[in-house]
Amino acid sequence: MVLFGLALGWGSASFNPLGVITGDAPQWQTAILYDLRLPRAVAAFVVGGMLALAGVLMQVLLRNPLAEPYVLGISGGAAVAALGAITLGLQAWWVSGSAFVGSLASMLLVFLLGGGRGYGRGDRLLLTGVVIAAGWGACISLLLVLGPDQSLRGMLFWLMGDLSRPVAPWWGLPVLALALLAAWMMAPALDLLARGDDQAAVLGVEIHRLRAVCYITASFLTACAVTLAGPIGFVGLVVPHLMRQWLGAGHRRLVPASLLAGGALLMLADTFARTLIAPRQLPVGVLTAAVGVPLFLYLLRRRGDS
Amino acid sequence: MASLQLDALAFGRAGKALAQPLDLRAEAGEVWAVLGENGVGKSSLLLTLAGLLPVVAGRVCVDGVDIRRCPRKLLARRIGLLLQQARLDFPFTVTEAVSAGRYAHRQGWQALGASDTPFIEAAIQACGLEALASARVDQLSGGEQRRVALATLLAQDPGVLLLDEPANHLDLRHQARLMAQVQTLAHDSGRLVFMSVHDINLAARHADRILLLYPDGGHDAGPASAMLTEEYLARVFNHPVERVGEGARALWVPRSAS
Repeated sequence: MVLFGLALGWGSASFNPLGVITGDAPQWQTAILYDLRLPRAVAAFVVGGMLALAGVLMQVLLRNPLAEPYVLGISGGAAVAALGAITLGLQAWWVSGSAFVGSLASMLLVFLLGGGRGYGRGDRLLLTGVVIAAGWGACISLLLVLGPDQSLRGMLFWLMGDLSRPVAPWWGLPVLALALLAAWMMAPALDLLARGDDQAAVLGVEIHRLRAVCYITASFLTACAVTLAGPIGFVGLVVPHLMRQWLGAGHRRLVPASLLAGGALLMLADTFARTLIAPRQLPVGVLTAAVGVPLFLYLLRRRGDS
Repeated sequence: MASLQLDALAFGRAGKALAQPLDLRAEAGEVWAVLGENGVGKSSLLLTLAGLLPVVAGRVCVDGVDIRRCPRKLLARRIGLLLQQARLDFPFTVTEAVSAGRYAHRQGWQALGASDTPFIEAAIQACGLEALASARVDQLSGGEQRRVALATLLAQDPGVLLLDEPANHLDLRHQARLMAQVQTLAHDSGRLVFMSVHDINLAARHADRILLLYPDGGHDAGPASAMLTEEYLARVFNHPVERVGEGARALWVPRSAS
């Protein structure tokens, strides 16, 4: 809540947001608050929450606490589709739509190639995702080279992840609430799945069904997040990891905590992105990477030592 | 009463049978040991019985119900398996890990209830994990993790307990404790214990009935006293063995090569 207030109050034009609510503020302040900062703060919270929740689910799915949504190549597919739309000079709406379709298509591709029957699927899924992500990377380079010069800047900004675009982030809230409910219901089964497919199955979990629901939910969340803000890395990776160190691995607590922390983290990061070199704005993806990469490497090292 | 029935069961991996079709009936109150060389299919048999590997041909029935017709959760109340390897990478506490055994006894989305607590506490105590109850499983040693897995199985409380090489990685003290527990479970609590071992002496001391898996795909089953002979065992291990000592203190040792 505090961060939410901060996100509303802090910006390149300074004024008191409380004045707007009590009604004695000039027109331009009301406009900035309701049309610019409020949707943006909501978008940051929604995207952060989605990415963190997707991270929790995929870490269970791959049985690797260090996995994250982007490892599976989902954002790569979204990026290729979105850049393709930009190259063709399509409207912003089409770009978002393509990103959504691209991420779901990429998920389907990874699932079909890396899924299949049999055990030990976690590792195969991970490797398939990594290889496909590398493939998407090559496609992105190709599109950047081929793309018309005037759209290059827009393409680069899209790739870095940026919250300045969302016009109507409101639909993200019910999506996030539904996903939270689903993940909360699945929590006891997720606790078991984290211990491996075989172990979960002998303890009574219908693992094929659970894995499918888990993968679809996580992919859908990532797709929504990418559609809203482009690929923003490290939220889905660092937040669940920190929460797990703090609260333990039980998913009943981990799922809601990660969602809230992810939303709060991205809102904070976006507030900084808007204000650090104001009036110019940084892409928020740069900021999350700047925080996420060193933190993640530190966690990885400590994990290796213990 | 717990029972396990194999009708012309062919088991193996990737649809290829590892042994000739197997007919067998095991009842509550019995301790079974499966003896065989590495790679002969002991683990595959147990994984098939637990429904983790598809049945190649034939049928497995637990309490008279075909395991293929039984939803996972119902199956988990009837039959449980101690896996040979269980890796725990997530920072669950020992109590949380053992609680997982109660999953099959409640609705999927429900949290643990008060009725689960006595099972969890008894399981932790039976495996000597009281002092470690709030320790993180990913920081335990291999033997301790194994005891956590065993406690999980005890909390699950199925009628049929499958144990894949239960004595591996366990210290002497815990090994002895485990084997005493196995006896109690079968003889006093009316459970059926079905375990794979590669140590003849462990089988000789603790099993009532024995299934021998030969390297050529054949097999024999029967009471321990009838199966543990130099002739049978030499065929199982492809090497002559002999009995040293008498009665309960007898030991099986490999005959030296020369």
